[in-house]
Amino acid sequence: MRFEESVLTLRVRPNDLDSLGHVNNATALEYLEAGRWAWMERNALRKVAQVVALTLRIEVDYRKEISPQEVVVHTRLEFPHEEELRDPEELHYRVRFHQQILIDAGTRLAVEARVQAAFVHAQSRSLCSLQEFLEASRVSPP
Amino acid sequence: MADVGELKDFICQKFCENVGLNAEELFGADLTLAEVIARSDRMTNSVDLMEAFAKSSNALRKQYAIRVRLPALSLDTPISQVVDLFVRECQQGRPV
Repeated sequence: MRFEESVLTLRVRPNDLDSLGHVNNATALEYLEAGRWAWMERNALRKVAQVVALTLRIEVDYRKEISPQEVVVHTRLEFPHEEELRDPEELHYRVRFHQQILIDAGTRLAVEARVQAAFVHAQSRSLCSLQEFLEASRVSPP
Repeated sequence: MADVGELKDFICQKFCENVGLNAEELFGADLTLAEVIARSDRMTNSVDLMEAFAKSSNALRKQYAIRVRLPALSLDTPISQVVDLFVRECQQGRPV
């Protein structure tokens, strides 16, 4: 099993800016979330009602201010590692994404984050594995 | 298949390794899962706990070719009950 990195371009909206004229820190978290949805789409995974992904932890380094412009959000799965995913029987209950928000036409790093997520059955609220999430979310080929 | 005693020892050893507590701390007082999370430096929440059980399950599969299903467990479940549950699953013998 292999997952591709996603690249999402977003335009900063006027209402994303704080009184200093740069993107509010909390809004950067919205960009990161949009990046994770783009990662799902890039890897042919869709949002389903039965199994839900929950954010467990976000570590963010704000490196540069973001002024009004286009930003590029890079998202890749950092854990489990590719070799761990090769074994379809190996259970995992957590994933970790490495995300970056780039500015100046994708040339400068503005935000770097590591985001952990877990999965629950929507109805029972019990934890479920990455495998169950993937099984429920995978888009069937037409 | 390995005998029950050997399997139980293996499961206990893997639980200790994966939750980061020694056998005396973990099984001496028969900690509940909530207490395991509170006492272990590696644990923050129930996802950490499930990851630890998943690693133990993966180790069982690699060592003994036995597949263990992980049920939903409430946080007041004592660790001895989780060990028994793993052993029962092994005895039911779901080969890989």
